[in-house]
Amino acid sequence: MALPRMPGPDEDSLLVHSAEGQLGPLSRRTLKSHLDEGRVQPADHVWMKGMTEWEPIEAQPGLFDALDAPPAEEAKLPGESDDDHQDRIFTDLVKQSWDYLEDHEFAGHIDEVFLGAVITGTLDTGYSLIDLNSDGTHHYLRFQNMEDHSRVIVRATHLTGTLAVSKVLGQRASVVIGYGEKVGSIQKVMGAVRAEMKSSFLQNPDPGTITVDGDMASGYVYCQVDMYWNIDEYVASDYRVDTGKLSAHIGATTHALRKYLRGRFT
Amino acid sequence: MFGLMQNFTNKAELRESKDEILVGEIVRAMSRQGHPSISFRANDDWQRVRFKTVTDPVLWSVFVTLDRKTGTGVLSQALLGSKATLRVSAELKNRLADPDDLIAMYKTDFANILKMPVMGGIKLNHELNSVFATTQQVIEIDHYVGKGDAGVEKLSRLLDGIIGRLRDKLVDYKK
Repeated sequence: MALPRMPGPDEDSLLVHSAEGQLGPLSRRTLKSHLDEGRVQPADHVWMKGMTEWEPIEAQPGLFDALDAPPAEEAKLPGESDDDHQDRIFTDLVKQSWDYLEDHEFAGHIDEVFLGAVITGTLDTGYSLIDLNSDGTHHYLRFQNMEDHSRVIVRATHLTGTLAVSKVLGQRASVVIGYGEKVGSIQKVMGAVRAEMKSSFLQNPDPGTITVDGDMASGYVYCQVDMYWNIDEYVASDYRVDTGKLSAHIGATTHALRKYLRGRFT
Repeated sequence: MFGLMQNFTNKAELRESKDEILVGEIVRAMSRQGHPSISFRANDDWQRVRFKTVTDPVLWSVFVTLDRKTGTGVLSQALLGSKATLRVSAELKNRLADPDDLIAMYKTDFANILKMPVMGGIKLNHELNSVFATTQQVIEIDHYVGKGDAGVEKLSRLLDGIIGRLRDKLVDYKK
């Protein structure tokens, strides 16, 4: 894949996976000197904003082009007056400042882009949103299918809300997916309530632990599982969402929970 | 008896959830227009979602706030329906601002000081880099939820119309 926009030679914009671990952000010029020193190998992988995945450095044509040329924004365009030239540089500097601010804002609200994608994807599978609570960091969604009355719960807590942390760890969220059905008899709900009491001993369930909730009033039994998801797997920095992947992951999780619930309570 | 109690509870839950159902459809409608959500604030009877208008050449973001007023109980729904106020605020952002904007800002705000953004009126609020246009109207939630594709289509038209009017008010402030 080609680089989305060639950064300036001294712009710290590249992350590299090498034998030393993750390096960066590095500029193109620094990366070139690391390559020359043998600190980084051509087969090592590089990533920068706008790329969808890590790619080998050697697969990036043009990464080391024009390292000694002045940055493109500083070169005068044909027929451009000095005044216009200076104005353009100034405008670019202001734009860069806004881009910088936007990077910080995006790191803080990527979880809410993810949440919107969860809502859209789940509505597209025939569910309606029936509960929404959010304080900006902790989000709770509950959906109901109006045909079969099954319910899906998504609880998400953003764990890496700052740009620095998200650059190091990636964008992570604690995600709890739940699936619920009306089980129809008081004995089965009581069975779920007993399982809920056992679940309550798990203060901080490990990933993959299934817990159970029973709701006597509505007759619903819910099974839910705790996980950690990389939300930048679904949301790109230009706000595009991989809805296919997101729907597949939610679908597979609810499928497993449905099987567990029906095997145990119906 | 147990079944009756469950049905009653389910109906009450769904009656109380109509505003959330509508917010879900708003999020989906905005997403289809290319406007992803970037902020949620929500509690039992009030929800606000901010959308990034990624592909809009004029607007920077749009806030949609739904505040349910009636219809959470059987009686109030029968008498008054499921009414809510829908407040939509569009934000235009300029990357450069200067002291002249301070003057323009106060002029805009004074001109709007007595305007109420109700019944379709639009109120402008000028901050340094941002100008907001806001309108508010009372809607009947039942006109949009539980109506299948027709309801969703009607909701999309409502949002498109409101955002279009707000954009028209703001476009002259775009530098």
